[in-house]
Amino acid sequence: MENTIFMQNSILSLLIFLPVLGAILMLPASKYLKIPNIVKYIALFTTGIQLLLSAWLYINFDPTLSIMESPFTVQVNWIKHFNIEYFVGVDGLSIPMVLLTALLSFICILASWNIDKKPLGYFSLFLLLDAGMMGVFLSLDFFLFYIFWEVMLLPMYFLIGIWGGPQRHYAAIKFFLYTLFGSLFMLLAMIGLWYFTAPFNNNEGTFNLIKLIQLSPMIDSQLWGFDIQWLLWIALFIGFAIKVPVFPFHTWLPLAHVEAPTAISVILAGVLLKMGTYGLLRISYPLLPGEVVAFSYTLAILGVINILWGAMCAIAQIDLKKMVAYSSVSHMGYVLLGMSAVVSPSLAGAEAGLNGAVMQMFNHGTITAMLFLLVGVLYDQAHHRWIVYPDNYKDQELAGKLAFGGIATQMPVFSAFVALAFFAGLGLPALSGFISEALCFIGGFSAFRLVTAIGTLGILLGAVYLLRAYQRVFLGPLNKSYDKLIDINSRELATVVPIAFLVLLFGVFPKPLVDMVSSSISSLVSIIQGAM
Amino acid sequence: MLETIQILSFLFLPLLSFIILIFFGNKLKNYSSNLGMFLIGLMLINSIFLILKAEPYDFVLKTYSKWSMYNSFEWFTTGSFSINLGYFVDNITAIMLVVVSLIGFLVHLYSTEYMKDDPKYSRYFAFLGIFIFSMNGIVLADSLIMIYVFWELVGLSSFLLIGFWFEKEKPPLAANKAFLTNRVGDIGMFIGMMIIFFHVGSFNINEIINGVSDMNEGLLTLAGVLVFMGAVGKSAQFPLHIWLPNAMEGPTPVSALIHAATMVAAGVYLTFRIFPFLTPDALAIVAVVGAITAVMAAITAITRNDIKAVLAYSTISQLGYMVMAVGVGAPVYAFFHLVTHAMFKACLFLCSGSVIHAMHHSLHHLHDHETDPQDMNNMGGLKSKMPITHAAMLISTFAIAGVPFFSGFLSKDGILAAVLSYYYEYGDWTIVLPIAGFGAAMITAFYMFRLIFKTFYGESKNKEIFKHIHESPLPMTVPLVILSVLSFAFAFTANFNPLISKGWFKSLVYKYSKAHNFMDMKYINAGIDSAHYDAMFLSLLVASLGIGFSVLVYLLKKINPNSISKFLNIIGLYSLSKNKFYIDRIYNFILYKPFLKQTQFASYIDWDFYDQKLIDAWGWITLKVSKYTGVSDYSILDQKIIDGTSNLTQYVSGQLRKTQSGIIQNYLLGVLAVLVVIIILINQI
Repeated sequence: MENTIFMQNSILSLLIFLPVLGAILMLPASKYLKIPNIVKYIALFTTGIQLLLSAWLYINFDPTLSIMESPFTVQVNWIKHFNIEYFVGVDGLSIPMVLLTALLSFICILASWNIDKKPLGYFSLFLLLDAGMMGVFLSLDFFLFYIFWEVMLLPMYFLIGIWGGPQRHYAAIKFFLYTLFGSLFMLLAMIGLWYFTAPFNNNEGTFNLIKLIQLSPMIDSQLWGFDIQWLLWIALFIGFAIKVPVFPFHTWLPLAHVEAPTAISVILAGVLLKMGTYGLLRISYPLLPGEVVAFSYTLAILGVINILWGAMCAIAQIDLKKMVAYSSVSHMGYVLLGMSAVVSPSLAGAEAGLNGAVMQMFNHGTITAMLFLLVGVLYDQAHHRWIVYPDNYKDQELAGKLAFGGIATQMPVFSAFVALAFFAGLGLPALSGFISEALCFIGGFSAFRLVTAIGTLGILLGAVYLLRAYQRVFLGPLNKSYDKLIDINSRELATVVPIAFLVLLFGVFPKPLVDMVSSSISSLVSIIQGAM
Repeated sequence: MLETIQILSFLFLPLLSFIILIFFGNKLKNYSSNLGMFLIGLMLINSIFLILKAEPYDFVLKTYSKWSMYNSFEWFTTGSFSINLGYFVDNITAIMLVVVSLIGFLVHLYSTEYMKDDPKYSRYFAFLGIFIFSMNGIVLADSLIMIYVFWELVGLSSFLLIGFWFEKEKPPLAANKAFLTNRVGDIGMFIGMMIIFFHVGSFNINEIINGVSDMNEGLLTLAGVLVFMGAVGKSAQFPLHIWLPNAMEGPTPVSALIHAATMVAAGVYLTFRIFPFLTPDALAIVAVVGAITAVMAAITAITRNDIKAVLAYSTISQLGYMVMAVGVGAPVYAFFHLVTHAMFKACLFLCSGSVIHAMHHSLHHLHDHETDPQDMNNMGGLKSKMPITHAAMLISTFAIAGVPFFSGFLSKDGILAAVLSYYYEYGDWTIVLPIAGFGAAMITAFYMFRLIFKTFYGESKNKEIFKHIHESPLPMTVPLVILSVLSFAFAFTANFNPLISKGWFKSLVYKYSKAHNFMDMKYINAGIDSAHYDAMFLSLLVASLGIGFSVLVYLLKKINPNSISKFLNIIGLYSLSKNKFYIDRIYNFILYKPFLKQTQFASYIDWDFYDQKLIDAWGWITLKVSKYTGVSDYSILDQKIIDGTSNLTQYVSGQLRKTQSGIIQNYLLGVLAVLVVIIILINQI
């Protein structure tokens, strides 16, 4: 009994700080223990334990409890002078993200097994990144949230900049500056919230996100002729939109995804993008419900632009990884569209949309992880990932020609998994992407008919780029230069199979996923609809 | 409970076949087909038990019971929004299940021989399994969303089977074309479904039928047409019919099962199910789409030389008939035609497969890899070599051409009567419908007999090939015999009088001719009955015209086909037919190519312009600015101002240094001077 209580109190902190411990342990271990790959084993062990802990959390998680009722919530003072708290908790909004982070971190360690360049640096930075991500999803104090948000940025910068592809320096600096630019706005909004809500809280500013739900709607003054609430919303939106990324802040994404090493692309697309939408749902939505109502139509339009523009660009790509990167832009558009549905006149529509958005965050995380992992498997052997050689290819004989072709003959198991991932990506029923996309559309449609109807073109365009790529790379007569490729090996299979299993499971049997999130969503919807 | 298990076994048996074969197919090798056949055979038996439960309409007492079985399970729920999955079984479902199981079983049997030497033998049967699973899902579904789910899954199985020989050039392209074209229709279906959901609050078809009455009629028309778009894609209706001819790249038994008998009929099945809530305006659109498809495809079929291409276009044309029939208010005849067509068209395709198989073996024997085994110009005179195939194909051709005593006569006759009565009722432009109907019937009779004569009659075109042609073995001919027996009218009426269409089949489906939300079906049915004799007379006339003409041209060779084509080309008809109405080319020119250009442009704008120029301009500006701030920081602030101050100090101190003379008197003088100043200052205060 006492053990359980201890576990309940410490589990969230363990989830966050275990990776830090692992990273610290690595330093002496790599120096004094002469075991080959010791660093990798420590990383694998740490993320493995983290995965087990998150599974324990999932089993003991009660979706009907609010954050303040949940036994896992921990709230202690940290910097008293500014009312900054160490406040962590988990609810239906964050638990899918926590599970996703733990799962993908573990899988990414496996996928990084062939990293031989400065492994100590790579794996310790990776664990720091892991800690940062967990922290973001579990923090309920804005200041803490912001710190983890920034903590995650630095390891990412080095992971892209040192272990990335040919343009890694450019990509890393661009990613870093772009995101930092967004964080700046977030910082402003954070300080603004602290400052402007103080009068309603006995002149004490607070970063407590739960308290702020009550306080921030009371802000009713103006600054430079603008509503402060509106300014806060815009600042937060810019901060989060860059992360999602929302058109037109999306161009850091293809570059960073393409240049990053496989495992880091997986984390970028699988987890980091979700922080943007998670931030919107965790902070902007409950704190500024009035602005959500006013902004939702724009959000729907931006979502549809993301869907269509991302898909259009993906169709034109001749680099397989870049295509997958643009597909993320498109798929995150579904999340935005689903989120905009919160103002729907039909409660069923609003709930469908928001649930769809959160599920799409999880499902896109798994599907895109699979896509990047599989592209990485092909790249490791072929050393390139062109669908068609570009016109300025170094070997002019090949320029403009089909690069692969018929890989399915040579690597049948691998190609079957790619087919599964592609079909999941294009929203085939019985695979998880379908349900969340459908819910986003159903929700969006109940609120904004025309915009959503235009957005449904994404159903077609998504199929166009994925199937065209599949046909050009995997089907048709075998390209004779690739008759030495070896089918997917067991380590690579171990990275893909668990995800494939989840994709199939939540496609056929989405109930566990829905039940996990739906009651938190219902209370969020009622907050927003209360402001209408 | 038992009932639910019985129904769900229609899903689990084929799914089991898929799962076992996809994972253990390599170990089972040639036993794969036995396993698949066993499971589908069980399903067939099950479906026969099911149809025995269906209760017929009593034509004497004019009573029918509302026999149906339904059940639904919650899939998931999000507070106030939930989706249920369930089945709804009535007479129509039971008939469809028999059709799918029967043809599925026969195709399995046939494929054991046809696919014998294929290295992916077990995978082929696995794919058949997942197809039958998804098809049964559509048939059993009780809600639009569940239909949509399985709709996409049959699309997947169709993709997998069309592209089965993916190591070749064309099949993957054809598979993509099929999937993508279908998705165009699916978008419409999805939007339509959402419109209805937010007015009725349910996806369940029966609840929709009961709930749409207070919906705005214009909106309901739109929603109906949008849902129908799904059927346009799946049932290859104009303008989305372009994928079906390419789908012939798949193995021929697959073409028989999926692209002739069952999956493509799913669109008609859907239209049949939603018929009660389609508004008259929506139905008019449905009818016109069907009519255009029926005529256009029939005209295109005339000039095909590939034996499967003729059958593909003929399938499109017949599907057009069915869709048109639903449009003019005769869904029961559409369904009747769906079932008879499933039998005779599956038979036709399997016969063509038998011919191709024989041609292929002969060519293989001759080590000839150039000649096309599907080109009818390489055939001729096969009747003597392949008597069973010939007989079966002739019987099913009689059926499709609408000759009395054969099944097609009954169902087509009903459709034509309905079309004619629609014209009698509405007049005006609706005359195009009977023209299309009867015209297509004549053309169908013509090109189908052209196929028969070119393949089985006359002189063989190539003596070498002809020498090595053999009749196909038993696993292939048995399905042909069974299906050709089912192409006789007797199979559906149990009555030798060819003019009577009443029988077990009609009594099972009769009640579905009575239900519509907005129209008086009694009145419509009376109209159809009264137009019946006109239609029968006309259809006999056009069928004999078509067949007679074909006999003259291709059997007796009294007329040179070239002179007909020249004659027809006066109005451009021949080139239209030869070039498939230029539709593929038009799409290529106005859709695909501009669209791909557009995406490249989008990508260029996004990356090369927006990101590299505009976004990076910020970096550039920052660099420039920082350069200037750097310049001003160092050269001005640091070098001039900061250092200037120190320079000044230095200069001043340099000057001051001169006062440091070391002469004591000078210092004393200085001290004195300061003292004087201080005293003066103090006195001032």
